[in-house]
Amino acid sequence: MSKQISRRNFFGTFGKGAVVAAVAAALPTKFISSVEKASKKEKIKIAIHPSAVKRTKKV
Amino acid sequence: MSDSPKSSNKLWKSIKGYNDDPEVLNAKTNEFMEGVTDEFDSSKLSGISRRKFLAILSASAALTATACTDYRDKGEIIPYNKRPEDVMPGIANYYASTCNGCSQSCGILVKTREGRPIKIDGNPDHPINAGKICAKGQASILNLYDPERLTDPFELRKKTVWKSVDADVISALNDAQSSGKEISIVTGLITSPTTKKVLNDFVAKYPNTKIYSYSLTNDQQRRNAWMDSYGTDEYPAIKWKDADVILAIDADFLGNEGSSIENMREHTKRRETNGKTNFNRLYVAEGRMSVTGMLSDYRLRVSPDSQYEFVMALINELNNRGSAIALDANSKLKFEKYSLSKFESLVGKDKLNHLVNDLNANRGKSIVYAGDTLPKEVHVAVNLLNEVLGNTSLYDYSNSFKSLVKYSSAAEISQLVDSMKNGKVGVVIHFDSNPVFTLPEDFGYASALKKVKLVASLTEAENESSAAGNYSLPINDQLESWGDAYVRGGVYSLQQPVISPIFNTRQKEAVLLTWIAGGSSAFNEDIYHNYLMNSFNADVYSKANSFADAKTFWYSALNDGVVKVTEKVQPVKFNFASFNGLNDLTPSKDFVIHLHDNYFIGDGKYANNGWLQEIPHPVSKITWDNYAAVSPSTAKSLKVDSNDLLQVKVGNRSLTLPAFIQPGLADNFISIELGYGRTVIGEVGKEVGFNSISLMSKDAQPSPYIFSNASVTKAGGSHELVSTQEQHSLDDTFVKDFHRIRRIIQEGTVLKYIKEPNFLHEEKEKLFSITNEVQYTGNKWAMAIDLNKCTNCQVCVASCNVENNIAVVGKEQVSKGRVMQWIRLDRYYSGTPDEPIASNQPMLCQQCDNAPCENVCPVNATNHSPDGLNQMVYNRCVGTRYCSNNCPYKVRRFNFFNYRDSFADSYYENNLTSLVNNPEVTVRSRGVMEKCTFCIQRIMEARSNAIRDNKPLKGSDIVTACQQACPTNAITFGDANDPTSPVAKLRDHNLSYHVLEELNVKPNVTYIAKLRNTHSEEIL
Repeated sequence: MSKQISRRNFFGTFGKGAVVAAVAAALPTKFISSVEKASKKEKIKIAIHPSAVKRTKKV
Repeated sequence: MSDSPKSSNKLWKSIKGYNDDPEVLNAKTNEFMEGVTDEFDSSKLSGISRRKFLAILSASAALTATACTDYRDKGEIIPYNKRPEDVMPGIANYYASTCNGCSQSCGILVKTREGRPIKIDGNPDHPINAGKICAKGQASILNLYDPERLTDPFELRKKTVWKSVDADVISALNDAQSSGKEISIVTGLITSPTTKKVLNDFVAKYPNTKIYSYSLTNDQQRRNAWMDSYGTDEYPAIKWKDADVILAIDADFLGNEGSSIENMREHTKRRETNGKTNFNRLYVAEGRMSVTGMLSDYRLRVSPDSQYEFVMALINELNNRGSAIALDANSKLKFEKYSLSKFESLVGKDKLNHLVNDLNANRGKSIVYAGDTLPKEVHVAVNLLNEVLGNTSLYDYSNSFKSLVKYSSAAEISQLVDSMKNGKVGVVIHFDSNPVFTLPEDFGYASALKKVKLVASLTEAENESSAAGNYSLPINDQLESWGDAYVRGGVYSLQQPVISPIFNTRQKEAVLLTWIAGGSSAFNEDIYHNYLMNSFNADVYSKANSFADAKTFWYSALNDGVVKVTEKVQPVKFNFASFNGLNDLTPSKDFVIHLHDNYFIGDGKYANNGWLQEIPHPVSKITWDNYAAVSPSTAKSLKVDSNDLLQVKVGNRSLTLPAFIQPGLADNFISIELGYGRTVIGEVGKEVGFNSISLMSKDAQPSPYIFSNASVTKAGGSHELVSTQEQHSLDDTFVKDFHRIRRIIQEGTVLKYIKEPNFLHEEKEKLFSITNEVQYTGNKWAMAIDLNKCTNCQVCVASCNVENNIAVVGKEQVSKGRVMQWIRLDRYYSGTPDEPIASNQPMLCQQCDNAPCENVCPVNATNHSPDGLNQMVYNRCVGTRYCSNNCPYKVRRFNFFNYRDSFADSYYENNLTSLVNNPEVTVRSRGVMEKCTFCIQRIMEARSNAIRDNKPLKGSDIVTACQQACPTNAITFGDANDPTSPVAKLRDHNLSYHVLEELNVKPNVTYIAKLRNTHSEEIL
């Protein structure tokens, strides 16, 4: 037999859940997690080799 | 559940309802379920009023909205302050260069966007590979962006600087030189004449230096045989297209052996079904099941240990019918004792008769070709057989395979190890080689290395050899390097950097030049560039007879990527002593082990390339592993099934690895691929597969790859092999010839086709539709795939991966059927497990006119374009997977995860690897369906160009990635509404058909049925 939950109970639980979710979402978790991966996120500098000869023929 | 419903025509929702359970019957009579209001007591409810609740909800919504602004930094797109010369945003540039992935040194064309290389294809101007490259070459672009590339020099695993390294190494070199100790340079095969010069200069500077060249898989046996037979180890190319009959003896010349891209192209010139049908006939005698074997017209199961006897018996039989060369008495004595009668029961009398009669009838127009792993004795015998048949006219000496630096013998490497052990070696330099992994263990190389004071490894990433040494010195990727190659007669290829070194790496030759110069200050970015130019001018410009000045010639050569010169061809004559002095080889009495090259990861060099690990094996369709392939009969006698562990013993060496039951293998025979089981490598390739080099020995005779009298036992335990083909196995009774019943594979024979050109369509009924058909008035994109030309090489898969940013998912996800490749090559067998007939079929989105996927998408994410494309709108897709559920071809791929993030601990989720992505193709994320688009980005580019040039858009303006990469031009793309287009003609070809066409989904991929060139009108 499924548990009966009243509408008021449901909204109460829902409201509290929303508050918890809001607070959790406001935490800078992505920022914290990105610190760990900082080494992987280093900017990569790329440059065309100055002596490379671009092909002029139509490919 | 009862067998029959208690009342007919009733509706029911559950087993209880089906069985007329009273509880269900009573519930039907009630308005609400009993107890629906239970526990509805207001005193137990919270005291929060509705108004308060809404206030909290609003506040939390506001907070959530604020928090959602915390996006990760996605980077910035800003215009160039100062645009680099040659760069036009959004427009690709192309650079000609040379691939150094294997000994063939194919010409390549590198596509770059805003300075970063994003695609490698073959250089159309290159006379050998003619615009095509292999899967390794295609996927090698990922190596440039491998996050575990060495970024700086390391000394004992600690980061250091080049200046310090140079000082230490030069000091050690001088010490070794002054104390009389050897300086050893261990390299792979050298194909660059300028690198050879650098090595010679190094030897001149440090005379105690010795160069050792070793490669795990090589053509040494062939070269040795050619040296004995003809006095030169530079053997000729084969004019495959001129051969009416080919006998390949354990030679995978259409798979991964020798110049396979060139071989495929030349061979399939004799598989044209347009115009005159002038097929060659391919016989393959082999123990394993190779790609070439799958393509054969007749396949003869002959174990490699019996090949010597087989060839000798053929010489005897065919010499009795005449010879193009006068044989001496000793030669006759040598082969007269061998008879083909022994092989009649093994391979079948009819097949054998066909072979002998065909070779006899096509003297001078046939070729017998032995594989690289076979002993020198077999090669010498094959050389004589071709002489007897007068087939030497099919040797192309103008394109012979050159030899710049000879491989070191096992004795020479043993000598090096002994010297190391005895403290006679002062410095070892691993010159882009990994001998600790690739040399057989019984050389004792790894332990001897500990006795050497300084071991410097020039390498792109840490490997087993660098881990055993003092210095790991990062070298440039091939796309950051200068170089040249002289692999084939009259062909000089040039390699140029298309991107400046991304990290603190150096060209490997520049490192040696710096050490030759004697100080770190000698190094500059152009040190090897200038050296190469000077060398090129001295060696090639002088031969080219060009009217241009040297500088113009150099730039022109860089533009083209290749220079062709005319070279004199020295006549050669067969030396009978080489044949008469052969040691007779006897077949094994126990198991035979055959080690051979794999198809995708080379000698382990490419093991960290996820794209290559994930491409299914062309024969077994297994990914991310190697295995011991056994025949069904042998598996039965060993009482093993696929995945069961086997222990393979050769002398005192053993290896435990999983079995895989491979139809078509010789009995009492095990075939294992080399190159797997790396231990010091990036996360992707670490401990993938089993290191079969552990079965090799320095003393192995007569071939280092074939072992007779081995023992094989069931080891207990299992290891899961993941095959993309077997994921949805069907019942055996149903699957028997399933593909023929459903007409997925439709085939015939050449004789049948000549007699009845329309045989394929005779029994077909015309399909009709009950709805109005959409009329396509403009372009209508379509593809045709000629199954006579498809060799199952998987280059199209690799090319599609790179072009369309296909994610690597890993072995576990592949096992769940979540591989993401947009094109797959289905392999079907028919016949018996012992003598299977293999059929291949590339399968990709068929771009159906009546696409069943489109009807079921609830958000119209997949729909039809006016030019006949079944297109995907990624932003609309909500991931119901209904489309995939409804696709009869099973070609849609769903992103169950964000695979760049989920695979190997986010291995490919970084700023470096993302540079490999094609900017014209969306990177799909979790929850999105994807599939082949017919390279819509290329269609759009061509359309944009046509609009700009005010021209009509033609099908020939567009080349899809798979089409561009296909070594045999089996794939044709174009406008089906243009009756003059090749694709429209192929759609009307006598041999054209659509897969599952009875479903009337009207696919736009047309297949040209395969013809087999047998002696019958029926497929055997």
